[in-house]
Amino acid sequence: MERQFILECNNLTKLYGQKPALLDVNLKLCLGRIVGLLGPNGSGKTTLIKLANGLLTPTSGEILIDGMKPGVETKKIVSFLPDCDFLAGWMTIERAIEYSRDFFSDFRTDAAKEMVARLGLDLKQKIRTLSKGNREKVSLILAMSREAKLYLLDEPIAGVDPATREYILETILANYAENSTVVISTHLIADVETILNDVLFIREGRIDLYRSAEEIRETEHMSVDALFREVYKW
Amino acid sequence: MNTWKFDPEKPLFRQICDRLCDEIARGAYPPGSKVPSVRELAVIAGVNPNTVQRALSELEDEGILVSRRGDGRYVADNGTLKDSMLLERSRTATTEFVRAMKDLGLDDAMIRESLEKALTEAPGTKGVDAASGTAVYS
Repeated sequence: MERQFILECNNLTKLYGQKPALLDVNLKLCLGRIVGLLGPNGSGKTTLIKLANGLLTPTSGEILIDGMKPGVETKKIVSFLPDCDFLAGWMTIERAIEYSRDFFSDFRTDAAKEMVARLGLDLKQKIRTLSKGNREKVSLILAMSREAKLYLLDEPIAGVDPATREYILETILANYAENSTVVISTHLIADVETILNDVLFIREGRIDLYRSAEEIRETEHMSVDALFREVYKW
Repeated sequence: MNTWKFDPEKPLFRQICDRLCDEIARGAYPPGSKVPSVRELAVIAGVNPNTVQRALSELEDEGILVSRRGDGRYVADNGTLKDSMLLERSRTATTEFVRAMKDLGLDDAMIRESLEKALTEAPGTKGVDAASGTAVYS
Protein backbone atom coordinates (compact mmCIF):
# COMPACT_ATOMS: atom_id res chain seq x y z
CA MET A 1 0.00 0.00 0.00
CA GLU A 2 1.18 3.49 -0.76
CA ARG A 3 2.20 5.44 2.26
CA GLN A 4 -0.30 8.01 3.43
CA PHE A 5 1.05 11.46 4.22
CA ILE A 6 -0.82 13.85 6.45
CA LEU A 7 0.08 16.71 4.12
CA GLU A 8 1.18 16.31 0.54
CA CYS A 9 1.81 18.92 -2.16
CA ASN A 10 2.33 17.90 -5.76
CA ASN A 11 3.58 20.61 -8.11
CA LEU A 12 1.52 23.06 -6.09
CA THR A 13 1.40 26.55 -7.58
CA LYS A 14 -0.58 29.55 -6.47
CA LEU A 15 -0.59 32.81 -8.37
CA TYR A 16 -2.11 36.06 -7.17
CA GLY A 17 -2.80 37.61 -10.56
CA GLN A 18 0.58 37.32 -12.26
CA LYS A 19 2.49 37.23 -9.01
CA PRO A 20 3.52 33.74 -7.86
CA ALA A 21 2.97 33.09 -4.15
CA LEU A 22 3.93 29.41 -4.37
CA LEU A 23 5.82 27.88 -7.27
CA ASP A 24 5.83 24.17 -8.04
CA VAL A 25 6.02 23.04 -4.43
CA ASN A 26 6.50 19.35 -3.75
CA LEU A 27 6.27 18.33 -0.14
CA LYS A 28 5.35 15.32 1.96
CA LEU A 29 4.82 15.50 5.72
CA CYS A 30 4.47 12.40 7.90
CA LEU A 31 2.50 12.01 11.10
CA GLY A 32 4.16 12.50 14.48
CA ARG A 33 6.34 15.50 13.62
CA ILE A 34 6.59 19.10 14.72
CA VAL A 35 7.56 21.05 11.63
CA GLY A 36 8.75 24.65 11.50
CA LEU A 37 7.60 26.51 8.40
CA LEU A 38 10.25 29.19 8.32
CA GLY A 39 10.66 32.02 5.89
CA PRO A 40 10.96 35.77 5.59
CA ASN A 41 7.90 37.97 5.28
CA GLY A 42 6.02 37.40 2.05
CA SER A 43 7.70 34.06 1.33
CA GLY A 44 4.48 32.05 1.01
CA LYS A 45 4.01 30.62 4.53
CA THR A 46 0.45 31.84 5.01
CA THR A 47 -0.50 30.99 1.42
CA LEU A 48 0.57 27.39 1.98
CA ILE A 49 -1.43 27.16 5.21
CA LYS A 50 -4.51 28.74 3.62
CA LEU A 51 -4.33 26.29 0.71
CA ALA A 52 -4.18 23.43 3.21
CA ASN A 53 -7.35 24.74 4.83
CA GLY A 54 -9.24 25.22 1.58
CA LEU A 55 -9.35 28.99 2.05
CA LEU A 56 -7.54 29.30 -1.27
CA THR A 57 -7.59 26.99 -4.25
CA PRO A 58 -4.43 26.04 -6.15
CA THR A 59 -3.76 27.67 -9.51
CA SER A 60 -2.25 24.35 -10.55
CA GLY A 61 -1.04 21.19 -8.90
CA GLU A 62 -2.67 19.74 -5.81
CA ILE A 63 -2.57 19.75 -2.05
CA LEU A 64 -3.83 16.73 -0.10
CA ILE A 65 -4.60 16.35 3.60
CA ASP A 66 -4.48 12.72 4.70
CA GLY A 67 -4.99 11.85 1.04
CA MET A 68 -8.04 14.11 0.60
CA LYS A 69 -8.57 17.45 -1.09
CA PRO A 70 -9.27 20.20 1.49
CA GLY A 71 -12.96 20.27 2.36
CA VAL A 72 -15.47 19.30 5.04
CA GLU A 73 -13.79 15.96 5.75
CA THR A 74 -10.32 17.44 6.15
CA LYS A 75 -11.58 20.22 8.43
CA LYS A 76 -12.61 17.50 10.89
CA ILE A 77 -8.99 16.47 11.31
CA VAL A 78 -7.19 19.79 10.87
CA SER A 79 -6.94 22.37 13.63
CA PHE A 80 -6.15 25.75 12.17
CA LEU A 81 -4.87 28.83 13.95
CA PRO A 82 -5.10 31.78 11.53
CA ASP A 83 -2.63 34.63 11.69
CA CYS A 84 -5.44 37.16 12.09
CA ASP A 85 -7.90 37.88 14.85
CA PHE A 86 -11.06 35.82 14.22
CA LEU A 87 -12.77 35.82 17.62
CA ALA A 88 -16.10 37.60 18.10
CA GLY A 89 -15.61 40.50 20.51
CA TRP A 90 -18.95 40.12 22.30
CA MET A 91 -18.22 36.57 23.42
CA THR A 92 -16.71 35.70 26.75
CA ILE A 93 -13.79 33.26 26.68
CA GLU A 94 -16.16 30.62 28.03
CA ARG A 95 -18.67 31.27 25.23
CA ALA A 96 -15.89 31.08 22.63
CA ILE A 97 -14.95 27.66 24.05
CA GLU A 98 -18.57 26.46 23.83
CA TYR A 99 -18.78 27.79 20.30
CA SER A 100 -15.72 25.78 19.22
CA ARG A 101 -17.06 22.72 21.04
CA ASP A 102 -20.28 22.93 19.01
CA PHE A 103 -18.28 23.10 15.79
CA PHE A 104 -15.75 20.35 16.33
CA SER A 105 -16.53 16.89 17.68
CA ASP A 106 -12.89 16.42 18.73
CA PHE A 107 -12.90 19.53 20.94
CA ARG A 108 -11.80 18.91 24.55
CA THR A 109 -13.59 21.43 26.73
CA ASP A 110 -11.81 20.38 29.92
CA ALA A 111 -8.41 20.81 28.31
CA ALA A 112 -9.43 24.25 27.06
CA LYS A 113 -10.51 25.40 30.53
CA GLU A 114 -7.33 24.05 32.05
CA MET A 115 -5.22 26.01 29.56
CA VAL A 116 -7.24 29.16 30.27
CA ALA A 117 -6.37 28.84 33.94
CA ARG A 118 -2.73 27.99 33.26
CA LEU A 119 -2.25 30.95 30.97
CA GLY A 120 -3.75 33.27 33.57
CA LEU A 121 -6.96 34.14 31.76
CA ASP A 122 -10.48 34.53 33.13
CA LEU A 123 -13.31 32.50 31.54
CA LYS A 124 -15.84 35.27 32.20
CA GLN A 125 -13.87 37.98 30.46
CA LYS A 126 -15.15 39.33 27.16
CA ILE A 127 -12.88 38.87 24.12
CA ARG A 128 -13.31 42.56 23.26
CA THR A 129 -11.68 43.62 26.55
CA LEU A 130 -8.59 41.41 26.10
CA SER A 131 -5.21 42.71 25.02
CA LYS A 132 -3.86 41.60 21.65
CA GLY A 133 -1.50 39.13 23.32
CA ASN A 134 -4.28 37.64 25.41
CA ARG A 135 -6.58 37.30 22.39
CA GLU A 136 -3.79 35.37 20.70
CA LYS A 137 -3.56 33.11 23.73
CA VAL A 138 -7.30 32.39 23.50
CA SER A 139 -7.00 31.59 19.77
CA LEU A 140 -4.13 29.23 20.49
CA ILE A 141 -6.06 27.53 23.31
CA LEU A 142 -8.99 26.92 20.96
CA ALA A 143 -6.67 25.43 18.35
CA MET A 144 -4.77 23.21 20.80
CA SER A 145 -7.93 21.95 22.51
CA ARG A 146 -8.75 19.82 19.52
CA GLU A 147 -7.68 16.22 19.16
CA ALA A 148 -6.60 16.78 15.58
CA LYS A 149 -4.32 14.87 13.23
CA LEU A 150 -2.82 18.04 11.84
CA TYR A 151 -2.37 21.40 13.55
CA LEU A 152 -1.61 24.35 11.30
CA LEU A 153 -0.46 27.24 13.46
CA ASP A 154 0.18 30.44 11.56
CA GLU A 155 2.44 32.73 13.59
CA PRO A 156 1.32 31.54 17.05
CA ILE A 157 3.98 33.52 18.92
CA ALA A 158 4.45 36.66 16.86
CA GLY A 159 2.29 38.95 18.97
CA VAL A 160 3.31 37.96 22.49
CA ASP A 161 6.20 38.88 24.74
CA PRO A 162 9.21 36.52 25.12
CA ALA A 163 8.07 35.13 28.48
CA THR A 164 4.62 34.33 27.11
CA ARG A 165 6.21 32.68 24.07
CA GLU A 166 7.60 30.02 26.40
CA TYR A 167 4.14 29.40 27.83
CA ILE A 168 2.67 29.15 24.37
CA LEU A 169 5.31 26.67 23.22
CA GLU A 170 4.79 24.68 26.42
CA THR A 171 1.04 24.70 25.75
CA ILE A 172 1.63 23.36 22.24
CA LEU A 173 3.99 20.63 23.48
CA ALA A 174 1.71 19.58 26.31
CA ASN A 175 -1.50 19.50 24.30
CA TYR A 176 -1.00 18.36 20.75
CA ALA A 177 -2.59 14.97 20.16
CA GLU A 178 -0.36 11.89 20.24
CA ASN A 179 1.02 11.03 16.79
CA SER A 180 -0.38 14.14 15.18
CA THR A 181 1.68 16.58 13.16
CA VAL A 182 2.08 20.22 14.09
CA VAL A 183 3.13 22.84 11.55
CA ILE A 184 4.27 26.12 13.08
CA SER A 185 4.87 29.02 10.76
CA THR A 186 7.08 31.76 12.14
CA HIS A 187 10.00 34.03 11.49
CA LEU A 188 10.99 33.89 15.20
CA ILE A 189 13.23 30.89 14.69
CA ALA A 190 15.40 31.06 17.78
CA ASP A 191 12.30 30.91 19.96
CA VAL A 192 10.90 27.72 18.46
CA GLU A 193 13.86 25.75 17.22
CA THR A 194 14.26 23.43 20.20
CA ILE A 195 10.74 22.03 19.82
CA LEU A 196 11.01 21.30 16.08
CA ASN A 197 11.70 17.93 14.46
CA ASP A 198 12.02 19.31 10.98
CA VAL A 199 12.50 22.67 9.44
CA LEU A 200 11.14 23.86 6.14
CA PHE A 201 12.77 26.96 4.67
CA ILE A 202 10.58 28.76 2.20
CA ARG A 203 11.50 31.74 0.08
CA GLU A 204 9.73 33.44 -2.79
CA GLY A 205 7.24 30.61 -3.02
CA ARG A 206 9.79 27.81 -3.17
CA ILE A 207 10.92 25.28 -0.61
CA ASP A 208 14.66 25.81 -0.20
CA LEU A 209 15.34 23.22 2.42
CA TYR A 210 13.56 20.48 4.34
CA ARG A 211 15.72 18.89 7.02
CA SER A 212 15.75 17.53 10.53
CA ALA A 213 16.70 20.19 13.07
CA GLU A 214 18.97 17.81 15.01
CA GLU A 215 20.74 16.91 11.77
CA ILE A 216 21.45 20.59 11.11
CA ARG A 217 22.97 20.95 14.58
CA GLU A 218 24.92 17.72 14.20
CA THR A 219 26.34 18.18 10.70
CA GLU A 220 26.52 21.97 10.35
CA HIS A 221 27.37 22.65 14.02
CA MET A 222 24.96 25.51 13.72
CA SER A 223 21.67 26.51 15.19
CA VAL A 224 18.66 26.53 12.88
CA ASP A 225 18.51 30.27 13.40
CA ALA A 226 22.15 30.71 12.30
CA LEU A 227 21.64 28.49 9.25
CA PHE A 228 18.57 30.49 8.29
CA ARG A 229 20.50 33.73 8.53
CA GLU A 230 23.26 32.28 6.39
CA VAL A 231 20.94 30.90 3.71
CA TYR A 232 18.93 34.12 3.54
CA LYS A 233 21.83 36.52 3.70
CA TRP A 234 21.67 39.33 1.14
CA MET B 1 7.76 27.29 33.15
CA ASN B 2 11.30 26.20 33.67
CA THR B 3 12.65 25.51 30.22
CA TRP B 4 16.15 24.10 30.12
CA LYS B 5 18.87 26.17 28.54
CA PHE B 6 20.51 24.66 25.51
CA ASP B 7 23.37 25.44 23.21
CA PRO B 8 21.45 25.55 19.92
CA GLU B 9 24.60 24.80 17.94
CA LYS B 10 24.93 21.30 19.36
CA PRO B 11 22.61 18.31 19.09
CA LEU B 12 19.96 18.62 21.76
CA PHE B 13 19.70 14.92 22.56
CA ARG B 14 23.29 14.93 23.87
CA GLN B 15 22.57 17.94 26.04
CA ILE B 16 19.44 16.27 27.40
CA CYS B 17 21.52 13.15 28.25
CA ASP B 18 24.07 15.33 30.04
CA ARG B 19 21.43 17.20 31.97
CA LEU B 20 19.74 13.97 33.09
CA CYS B 21 23.10 12.53 34.13
CA ASP B 22 23.71 15.68 36.17
CA GLU B 23 20.34 15.26 37.85
CA ILE B 24 21.06 11.62 38.63
CA ALA B 25 24.51 12.54 39.98
CA ARG B 26 22.94 15.24 42.16
CA GLY B 27 20.49 12.69 43.51
CA ALA B 28 17.40 14.33 42.00
CA TYR B 29 16.53 10.94 40.52
CA PRO B 30 17.87 8.29 42.94
CA PRO B 31 18.71 4.77 41.73
CA GLY B 32 15.52 2.78 41.16
CA SER B 33 13.32 5.85 40.88
CA LYS B 34 11.07 6.58 37.94
CA VAL B 35 12.03 9.32 35.49
CA PRO B 36 9.32 11.47 33.89
CA SER B 37 7.70 10.27 30.68
CA VAL B 38 8.87 11.42 27.26
CA ARG B 39 6.00 13.85 26.99
CA GLU B 40 6.54 15.23 30.50
CA LEU B 41 10.25 15.73 29.91
CA ALA B 42 9.54 17.39 26.57
CA VAL B 43 7.36 19.95 28.31
CA ILE B 44 9.80 20.42 31.22
CA ALA B 45 12.75 20.89 28.89
CA GLY B 46 10.88 22.71 26.13
CA VAL B 47 12.07 20.32 23.41
CA ASN B 48 10.62 17.99 20.85
CA PRO B 49 9.36 14.65 22.25
CA ASN B 50 11.25 12.69 19.58
CA THR B 51 14.49 14.30 20.75
CA VAL B 52 13.73 13.32 24.36
CA GLN B 53 12.95 9.79 23.16
CA ARG B 54 16.35 9.60 21.50
CA ALA B 55 18.11 10.85 24.65
CA LEU B 56 16.33 8.31 26.86
CA SER B 57 17.12 5.45 24.47
CA GLU B 58 20.75 6.51 24.53
CA LEU B 59 20.82 6.43 28.34
CA GLU B 60 19.17 3.04 28.22
CA ASP B 61 21.88 1.74 25.89
CA GLU B 62 24.44 3.03 28.35
CA GLY B 63 22.72 1.12 31.16
CA ILE B 64 21.90 4.28 33.11
CA LEU B 65 18.15 3.93 32.62
CA VAL B 66 16.12 0.77 32.40
CA SER B 67 12.77 0.47 30.72
CA ARG B 68 9.94 -1.53 32.28
CA ARG B 69 7.38 -2.64 29.78
CA GLY B 70 4.30 -0.46 29.97
CA ASP B 71 5.58 1.36 33.01
CA GLY B 72 8.06 3.89 31.76
CA ARG B 73 11.73 4.25 32.55
CA TYR B 74 13.64 3.99 35.80
CA VAL B 75 17.11 4.93 36.93
CA ALA B 76 19.13 1.70 37.04
CA ASP B 77 18.99 0.23 40.53
CA ASN B 78 22.70 0.09 40.88
CA GLY B 79 24.23 1.10 44.21
CA THR B 80 27.37 2.62 42.72
CA LEU B 81 25.68 4.41 39.82
CA LYS B 82 25.13 7.73 41.58
CA ASP B 83 28.70 7.86 42.95
CA SER B 84 30.35 6.86 39.70
CA MET B 85 28.19 9.33 37.84
CA LEU B 86 29.05 12.11 40.28
CA LEU B 87 32.73 11.29 39.91
CA GLU B 88 32.52 11.28 36.14
CA ARG B 89 30.52 14.50 35.93
CA SER B 90 32.81 16.30 38.35
CA ARG B 91 35.89 15.12 36.46
CA THR B 92 34.47 16.56 33.27
CA ALA B 93 33.69 19.85 34.98
CA THR B 94 37.17 20.01 36.47
CA THR B 95 38.86 19.25 33.17
CA GLU B 96 36.89 22.04 31.53
CA PHE B 97 37.79 24.43 34.32
CA VAL B 98 41.49 23.62 34.08
CA ARG B 99 41.44 23.97 30.30
CA ALA B 100 39.73 27.36 30.51
CA MET B 101 42.28 28.58 33.07
CA LYS B 102 45.20 27.35 30.98
CA ASP B 103 43.71 29.06 27.94
CA LEU B 104 43.93 32.25 29.96
CA GLY B 105 47.64 31.54 30.37
CA LEU B 106 47.61 30.71 34.10
CA ASP B 107 50.11 28.24 35.51
CA ASP B 108 49.27 25.48 38.01
CA ALA B 109 50.10 27.54 41.07
CA MET B 110 47.92 30.40 39.90
CA ILE B 111 45.05 28.02 39.11
CA ARG B 112 45.30 26.49 42.61
CA GLU B 113 45.41 29.89 44.21
CA SER B 114 42.42 31.14 42.28
CA LEU B 115 40.47 27.96 43.06
CA GLU B 116 41.22 28.27 46.78
CA LYS B 117 40.11 31.87 46.73
CA ALA B 118 36.89 31.08 44.89
CA LEU B 119 36.14 28.26 47.34
CA THR B 120 36.50 30.45 50.42
CA GLU B 121 34.30 33.07 48.82
CA ALA B 122 31.62 30.71 47.46
CA PRO B 123 28.50 30.64 49.63
CA GLY B 124 27.16 27.30 50.81
CA THR B 125 30.27 25.38 49.88
CA LYS B 126 30.74 22.26 51.90
CA GLY B 127 34.27 21.53 50.81
CA VAL B 128 36.22 20.02 47.99
CA ASP B 129 35.70 16.50 46.77
CA ALA B 130 39.16 15.02 47.35
CA ALA B 131 38.96 12.62 44.41
CA SER B 132 38.21 15.22 41.78
CA GLY B 133 39.10 18.55 43.29
CA THR B 134 35.65 19.90 42.55
CA ALA B 135 33.67 22.09 44.89
CA VAL B 136 30.82 20.21 46.54
CA TYR B 137 27.74 22.21 47.42
CA SER B 138 25.41 21.18 50.18
